[in-house]
Amino acid sequence: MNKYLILVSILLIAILIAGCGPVEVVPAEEKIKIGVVTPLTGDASNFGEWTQEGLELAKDEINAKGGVNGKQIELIYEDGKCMPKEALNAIQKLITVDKVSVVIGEICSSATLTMASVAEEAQIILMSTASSSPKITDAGDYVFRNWPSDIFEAGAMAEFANKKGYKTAAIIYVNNDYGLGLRDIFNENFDGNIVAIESYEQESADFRTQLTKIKSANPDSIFIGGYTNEIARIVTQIKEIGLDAQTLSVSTAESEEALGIAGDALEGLYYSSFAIDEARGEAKGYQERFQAKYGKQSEIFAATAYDALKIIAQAMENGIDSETIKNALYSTKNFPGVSGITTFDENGDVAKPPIIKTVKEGKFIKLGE
Amino acid sequence: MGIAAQLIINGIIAGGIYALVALGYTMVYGILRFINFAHGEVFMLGAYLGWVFNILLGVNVIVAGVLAMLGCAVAGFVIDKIAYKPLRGRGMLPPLITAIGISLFLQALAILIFGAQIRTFRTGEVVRGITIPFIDAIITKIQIVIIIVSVALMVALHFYIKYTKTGKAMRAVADNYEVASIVGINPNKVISYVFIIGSALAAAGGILVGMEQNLTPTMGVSIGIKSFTAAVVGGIGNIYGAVLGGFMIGLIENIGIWFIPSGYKDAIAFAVLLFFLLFKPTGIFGVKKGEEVSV
Repeated sequence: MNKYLILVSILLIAILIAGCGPVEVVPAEEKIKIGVVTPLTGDASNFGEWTQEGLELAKDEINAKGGVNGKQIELIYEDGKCMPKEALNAIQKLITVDKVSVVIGEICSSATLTMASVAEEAQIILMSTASSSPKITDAGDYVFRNWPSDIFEAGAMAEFANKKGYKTAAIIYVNNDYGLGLRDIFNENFDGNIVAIESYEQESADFRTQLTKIKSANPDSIFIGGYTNEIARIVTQIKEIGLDAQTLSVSTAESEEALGIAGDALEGLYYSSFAIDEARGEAKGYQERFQAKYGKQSEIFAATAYDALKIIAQAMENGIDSETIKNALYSTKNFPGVSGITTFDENGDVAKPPIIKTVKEGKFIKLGE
Repeated sequence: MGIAAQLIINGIIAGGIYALVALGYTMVYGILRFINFAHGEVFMLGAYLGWVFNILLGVNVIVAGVLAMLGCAVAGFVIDKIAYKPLRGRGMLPPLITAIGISLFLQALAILIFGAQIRTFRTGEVVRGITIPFIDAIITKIQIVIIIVSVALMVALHFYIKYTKTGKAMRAVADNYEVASIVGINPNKVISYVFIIGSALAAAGGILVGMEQNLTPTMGVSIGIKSFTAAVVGGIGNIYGAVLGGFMIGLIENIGIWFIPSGYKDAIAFAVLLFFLLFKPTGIFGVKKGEEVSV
């Protein structure tokens, strides 16, 4: 053997050992691995960031209290990019390489639905913390979500529009499972005439043609069913092309980023959402701890993620195989979460009552405040 | 009248940007016979550089634009020297794959430095655009700037290619690489100029789009593909074809949605691409060249 080869081998081994970093106090097998698939890049990455904040806070709290039956929780993040194809690769990696029995994710409904079939086949728990497509209700036995179906949000917005007395509405929606769900439910529940329905591809930036078409239909109101960045761009362009109609949307509108992009164009938008009910003790303490860790207030998307991990940790107390966890999740009743009191129905869905909010002077406020 | 005019205006705005970016694709292809897939990312880089100078460092927006164009010109030069030059003469596939690699690298780099969230040039209030008299279409100030700047740059490029020594050398190398080198033109120098100019044009497009639609690390992907389509439709290798193709794609996709559901907006551009590849693969202005090698 060439002496250089030996030298290089030794060097490589040295690098490998050095690369392992500080020695772990807890042996790897004593940890419970939980997979997380969430958009870490792309237009939906703000949701991914919030999810991560909520999960990390919950993980730290659980681990500080001794973990689950003495075992620490470890979260393995994969980037789902809010895209079905990416999410599929991510969950397959988590199942085959990391051998997790629980996967938390995705945010986007299309991605969650794609993963649902894989999770179902592999008999792995899939817990989404924000996907709202009505299709997820029937996605499978192992599929849960800590976010109510669109039936609540879009339905509440349609009823609000009825109450406001809008005669006509236009719909602009993102062309995926999330947008389609919102479109259908708003369409069914709105009493007036839907005068225009336009769609756009996810991550679009130019909506002028769709809005020009909507403008020619001259609606009283426009319901926007999409993601934060798109909503922000749409309301901006609505204002720029001089389309005078009341803008309506859902919880994805609520974010500081949207304010940064759209500024005053977001003013007066009505949207339905769920709120962290700070009147309850759990939620108040949560906001304080969140503030201490991140220096800002928690978004609702961080709260649902926080709750999801807490619920999973509780469900794992009887055993960490997916069958036991699944049964424990179905029997979770009135879990006092920060995003609301949580009970899973027979489809793994939760019910949380929506509220109507608006944007006033750069603040997201409950209507009537 | 109002709606038709509005759609045509929308198409011209989008087309101006596609044309600017398509120029970079077509100039590189004209000389090197390969598609520089990293070009869309240079466009994105230009937008971010402009944002850094204008928003972070507070430089005047026009100066910031010029600085970003210079920055991208340097980036284009460096990318060519590091990634493509060593592969010259090794067939079409290696530089193509490298280009895809560079494109992913630049996207990842942007995410690393600027984060995945949206950045915006917007500082003031969102205002209703200006109504153009007689045709009743609405246009914002930035959109007027987009049209003026893109047309001005294209005219400037025309004069550069037509009348300067380097411009003539570019045409010569595009026409026949070997003969041009025999008569004393240094092809490597010409190639560097092509990357410098193409990247600067892309940067201008990036800043204009960034001002209008905000910035994301993935903003170059879809514009890159559409502009590539524009270059092919116009006849790849021909700069006038790229301009025509850019405006054509912009107009067709915007007017097209008037007749078919808007969800098919992206599909329209690709339908046009498919049509051309099937029935006129050389594009509108393209000439069939004997020495072209297909992948």
